[in-house]
Amino acid sequence: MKLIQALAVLVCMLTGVAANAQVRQIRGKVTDSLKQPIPFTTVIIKGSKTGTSSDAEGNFSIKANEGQTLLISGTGIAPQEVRIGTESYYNVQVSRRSTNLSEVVVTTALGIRRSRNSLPYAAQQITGDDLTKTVTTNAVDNLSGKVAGLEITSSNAMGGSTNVVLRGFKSLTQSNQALFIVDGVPYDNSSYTGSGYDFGSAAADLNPDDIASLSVLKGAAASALYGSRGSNGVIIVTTKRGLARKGLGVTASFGVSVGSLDPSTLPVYQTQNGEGYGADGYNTPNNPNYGFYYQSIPGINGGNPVLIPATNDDAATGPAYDPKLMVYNWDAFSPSDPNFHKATPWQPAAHHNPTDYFVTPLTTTENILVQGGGNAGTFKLAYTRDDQKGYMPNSNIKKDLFDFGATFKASEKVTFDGGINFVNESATNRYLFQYTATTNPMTDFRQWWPTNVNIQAQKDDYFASGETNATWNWVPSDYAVNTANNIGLPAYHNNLYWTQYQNYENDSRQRYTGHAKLNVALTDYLNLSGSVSDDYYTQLVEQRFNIGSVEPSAYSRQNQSFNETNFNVLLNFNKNIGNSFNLKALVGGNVQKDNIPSIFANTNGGLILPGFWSLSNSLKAPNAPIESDLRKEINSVFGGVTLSYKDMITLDGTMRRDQSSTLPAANNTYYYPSVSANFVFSKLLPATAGWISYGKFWANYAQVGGDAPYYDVYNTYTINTPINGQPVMNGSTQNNNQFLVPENNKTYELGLEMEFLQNRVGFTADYYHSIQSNQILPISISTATGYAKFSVNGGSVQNQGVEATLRLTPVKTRSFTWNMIVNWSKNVNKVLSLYGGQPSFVIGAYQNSIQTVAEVGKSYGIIRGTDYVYLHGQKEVDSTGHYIISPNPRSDIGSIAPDWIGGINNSFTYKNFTFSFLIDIHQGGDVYSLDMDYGSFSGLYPRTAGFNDLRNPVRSPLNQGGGIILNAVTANGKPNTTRIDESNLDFGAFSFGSEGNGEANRQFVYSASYIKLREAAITWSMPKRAMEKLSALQGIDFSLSGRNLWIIHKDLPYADPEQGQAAGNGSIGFQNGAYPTVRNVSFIVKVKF
Amino acid sequence: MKRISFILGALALIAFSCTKPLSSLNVDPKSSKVALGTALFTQAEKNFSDANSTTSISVAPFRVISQEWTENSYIYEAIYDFAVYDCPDGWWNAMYINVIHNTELAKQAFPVNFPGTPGALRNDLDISDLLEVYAFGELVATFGDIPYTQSQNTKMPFPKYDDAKTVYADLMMRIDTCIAGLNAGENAMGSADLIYGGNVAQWIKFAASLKLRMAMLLADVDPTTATTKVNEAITTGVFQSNSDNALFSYDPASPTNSNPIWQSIFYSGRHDFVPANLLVSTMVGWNDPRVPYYFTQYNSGYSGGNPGQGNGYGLFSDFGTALYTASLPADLLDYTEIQFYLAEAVERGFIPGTAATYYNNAITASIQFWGDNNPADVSAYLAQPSVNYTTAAGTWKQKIGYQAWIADYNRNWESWTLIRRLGYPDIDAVSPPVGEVSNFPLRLYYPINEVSSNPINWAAATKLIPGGRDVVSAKLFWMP
Repeated sequence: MKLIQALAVLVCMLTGVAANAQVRQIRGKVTDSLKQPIPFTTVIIKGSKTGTSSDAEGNFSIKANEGQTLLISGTGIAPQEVRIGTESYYNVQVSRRSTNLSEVVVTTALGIRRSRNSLPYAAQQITGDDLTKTVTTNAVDNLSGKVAGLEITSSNAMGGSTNVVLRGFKSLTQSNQALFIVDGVPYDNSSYTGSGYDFGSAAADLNPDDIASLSVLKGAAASALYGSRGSNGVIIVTTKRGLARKGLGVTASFGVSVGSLDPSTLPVYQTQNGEGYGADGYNTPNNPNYGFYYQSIPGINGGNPVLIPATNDDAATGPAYDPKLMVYNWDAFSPSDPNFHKATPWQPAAHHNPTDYFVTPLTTTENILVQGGGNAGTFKLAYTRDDQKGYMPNSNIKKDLFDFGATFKASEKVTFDGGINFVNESATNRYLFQYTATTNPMTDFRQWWPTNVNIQAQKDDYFASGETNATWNWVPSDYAVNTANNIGLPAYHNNLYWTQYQNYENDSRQRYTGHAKLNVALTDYLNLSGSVSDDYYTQLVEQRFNIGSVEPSAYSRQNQSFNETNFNVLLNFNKNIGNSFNLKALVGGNVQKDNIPSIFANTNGGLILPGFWSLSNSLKAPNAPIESDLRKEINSVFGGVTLSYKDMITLDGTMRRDQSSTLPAANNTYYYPSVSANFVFSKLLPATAGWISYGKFWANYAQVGGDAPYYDVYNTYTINTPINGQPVMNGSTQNNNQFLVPENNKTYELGLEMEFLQNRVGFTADYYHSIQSNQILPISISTATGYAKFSVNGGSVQNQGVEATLRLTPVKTRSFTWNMIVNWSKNVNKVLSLYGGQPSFVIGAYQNSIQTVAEVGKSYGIIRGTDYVYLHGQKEVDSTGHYIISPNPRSDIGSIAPDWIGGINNSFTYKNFTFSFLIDIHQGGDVYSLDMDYGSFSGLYPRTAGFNDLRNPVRSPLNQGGGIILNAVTANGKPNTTRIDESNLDFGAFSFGSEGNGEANRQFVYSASYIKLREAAITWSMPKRAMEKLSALQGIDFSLSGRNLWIIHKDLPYADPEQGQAAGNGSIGFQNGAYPTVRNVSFIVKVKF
Repeated sequence: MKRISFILGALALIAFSCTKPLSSLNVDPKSSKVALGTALFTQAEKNFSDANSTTSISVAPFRVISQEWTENSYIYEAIYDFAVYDCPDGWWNAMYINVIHNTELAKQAFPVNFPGTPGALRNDLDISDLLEVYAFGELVATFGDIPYTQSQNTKMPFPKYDDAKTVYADLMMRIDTCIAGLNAGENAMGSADLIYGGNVAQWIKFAASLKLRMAMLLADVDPTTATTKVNEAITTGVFQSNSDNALFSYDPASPTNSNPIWQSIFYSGRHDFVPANLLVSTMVGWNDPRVPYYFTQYNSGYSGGNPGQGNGYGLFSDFGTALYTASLPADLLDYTEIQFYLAEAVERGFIPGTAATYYNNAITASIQFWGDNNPADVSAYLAQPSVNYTTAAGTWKQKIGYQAWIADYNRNWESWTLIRRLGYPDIDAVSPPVGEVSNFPLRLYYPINEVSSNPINWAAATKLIPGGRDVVSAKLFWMP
């Protein structure tokens, strides 16, 4: 109370003073230290109620007296006081506060910047600095945990793709990825996963160092003006701009990042049993050791039979290791190996672990940004170079990014704005994401691997043999014939170094994005603009299998390009009506044209010459290349009206009409209406309620339409390679539909935002509810129709959820600040109905008969596979002591939907040091691990070996005290006491894995939950005083940071639950050949001149 | 200002006026909207041949089930575990999507602007239908009740299942319609037919032979119908020699058009299979002259792998050179098979005659078919007590069963069906796979895609399976 009294006295004193002075018009501009304008700051005369706010360009105008003090404040900046002297113009430089409080201004649809007070929907803004704390070649990855409701699933592969999903899965089969808009230009973010490779997401072409800010529009009302593409949310990226200043502003940074693999995401093997599938060699006469071959090989042991492990097998269910037993291991048949034709003890190899295969990943990035300009215009020029070396041998990505942007003021009323970006990227050996025993090293390491194989020796053999496919996986027919000049082909697995050096993939992409915009201020309240933008890239992917591989030798190339052109016209109206009202209106049009042509050609029947990579090097006449040419056009008109009252109440209405070429002509038009309102109720609170610094409530409703995928209307035929001179054609396997109608998504949203105790505590919370209906889906149907898929309007999915952001400044002193931001969101989704009253259909069908399905009444993405039979909640065994598998061949065994996701950001600033860390939490959802299933079947993991309750090896025969008793009950409900034999796979005795007489798929479903220390960073900025001595420098920052440092908690063994099979809808919930997680530690120096 | 407005106006005009009608962008410029009937037929013929030849265990693991071949390292189908590679889905899709879908589309395409006579059109339609009937016949004899009346209907994405016996009767009727409709005096599809080159007279023989084959499947449960149909087929005229065999010509010019066996055991670089021990030892024991054609030697002898156990490639006999030939034709229906049926028909009393004659004809034709044209080899083989029809061990079912099984070395689905029909070789008794997960499978369970994508009809069909469970041990409509 005393404080308030004191304040009142102060106010009286100040106003008293003011009354005596001369009032005049003061103008000014608010900028930050980089001379970037700060819009929408609050400018008040200290001690009075008189105030105004700066406009979008930071300009303000206020009537004040000499001697008064202007107080400039805003949530994203440190409050700044300016004493009014005799001048009438003031350049107010404020310092941006570390971005722990939500920015005052958010860039919304069509690049319109709105103050927080007039924002009637959920949006969250992130500054570029937040994205470049750690070295990254994909800025999007660094959004993880920073935005409530945003789920980022990034791949652990070098340059791998990133799923960007806001507010859960809405579409059952089409893309759920958020739309990227960069400086007003739609920016393609397709993920390419052709031929099983993950080519990454196109948003990785964004230059992280060139991003000024990034705003996330979560709901349909916010993004309705973008049409259907915005229905999954929009991420608006604003790049850095040129600025009017003396001389050039130069910022340069250098970063280096060194990775190490998180050991908790790598497999751990049992070391009791070696290579084999049980009793290979059973047929060999007089074999003293079943499980080994007993063969006579010329030149070995005087032609007498010797013991040889089953080198053609790729599992560890073979004979128990016994160092006293001398055997002719795989290396005894590798002509360049020191052990060639030598017997060695039967034991695990010294380097049998995948860690011996990986190399240290290293990324360097250099960036320079030049900004300059004068009265007539500004420009910026940025260049970034990334060099990334992956952790797989012989893998790398190189990237050059150029960004140029300029503005030109032709007159007071006419401005031009343009920019062009160019990205040149090339990569070697992207990582494979599919089940290929021969080419994907991770499926080798996690599923099919014998631990008597020494990876170091494999490497040495590859190089020592003159780069031949010196495998461990010999076919028995090779034993007698392998010589240095002529080695046989492997049974199934190439030498992994051969794979990386001979069968390498490479690709390159050149991407140009550009826009030109003309802006005309027709009057002071009417503005007309027109723009053209283009996003174009061309990419080449080449793949190889050299002669000497298990698979047929081949060379293929795919040339693809992508082009999206947008034409926009926009008329803006903005006028104050009286003192209290402001009316904004816009009307515009957009034409979007897409064209994605591609051509894929392959050699046929093998190569003629080894290592010569040309289509002409084809043993048989190549088949016709496969062509594709995707075209699409959407014509749109849209308009919107915003009416605000005293910056307190805002009413918003928009309408858009789209006409899309992908829908049948009769039904290709659809509308998107939206209405929103917000109310800054804190403005009504008496000033005495000082503990509430801000309060706002908003509500909105929107409807969004959607078009169909490319060419889903008519059925077509494919022409195949002629056979014996006869043409052959087949009908399409998708039944298309001439009666499709547009999709429809209805959403409403309610939100509340409050700040307390002078912004020391604040939160934003919203609830949303959306129903996506008439979804256009290529549904899986009975293939007895002749088709595998049917394109229909079917399926309605409901999403509802809560998103909350809590902002705290627990400590704030002159030299020390602790800021905390907690993001939390929960999305509950439910499939309401499916086409034709069907109870379910398949979304993804995977290896081992695993499906993900949409099931009415359940959340999107139920995992189906085999389950156990349960009795009183416990697994039941049959009379032999083995699990009983449920008769329903596809039981529901998990769900991909997470319960909630969250992030906790902490940052501590002490003088010039800032320390921050981010904890990322993902709770719930399941993942099926094919790795664990197959790897158990092949006896790789410790769970399949070790010692039983009798302290005997599990794999010993029953009569030697081996075997296990499954933790289950018998048919009469009593605990199981039957011991089962695990000694011999061939005799059906081995019960691990879901194959044969084993476990159910359910056994290999794990919680996808995790808690990760995602980021930690220490930054040091050179103190101002020191800087002043170095007149050339304006600033220098050092930061040391780490990414993916620690998986604090997870349930899935040996792998990162975040790792999907690939990008897109289908990847989540199924894990196969998971790549390990890289812990990156990076060091960045940023210098401003 | 005027100039600026002009620029903006022009921009807007360009954007909106250069636009072609939107609907024209809806047509895929790289996929044809029209089809050639003959090209669809050739595709269907090839796809049917592929399905019946392929060694892919995700489509047709039948030669592994029937122990003509067995598996080396990845031992699932050999022990009757079909879930790992989803072969029920593979086989079902191969027939419904790859064969029947294309024959149906061909039948729709032929009448459009048909260049020939109505009689020639009828021939094209009937030949396509024969192929389709054959495919449906294999489906219904594999699964039991299947979608039939509502299948291949673009408006019925979730077809109901029809009673297997009713489907089968309708298929037999369709053969009769084809036989009645085929006119040897008119042209047929000509070179588009890679089996008979459009020779209608051959197709009539094929129709009769297919009818005989399908009738014999009913021999146990409906001998009356079987007798009638067998005799009708003979009257129409079944295959008379190996030169009548329905052989599909593969094209080694391109791997995709080469014999799938060559693709699998040679071109792929993989070593998944070896000849099965039961077949090798049986044939070696009987001094079968086909042994060197079927197998290579290992350690100057012949040996086969043991089903259910790991087998090292290179430690057993390998497949003979014929199977390593890219151009090896697919054998879809042959004289040998017909002669074995006739031997059986005699034993069952469906037709008059001497079973031994047909039995000898069948074996002789098979030996010749595999390349041994030395009559002395044939007679020496037939003279052995273990082979001779009068002295060979067991009932007529066992004698015919074993010999037909040997002849079926490269007949895949047929070799499995033969064992299911006659019960010989009695795999469960003489060579149960080590670690088998069930007894010898009598059917395939329905595709798992049906479980989730046609759930209501799948559940209804499953209810009608004897025992009410969708399992491989349930008997089919033609099993006694």
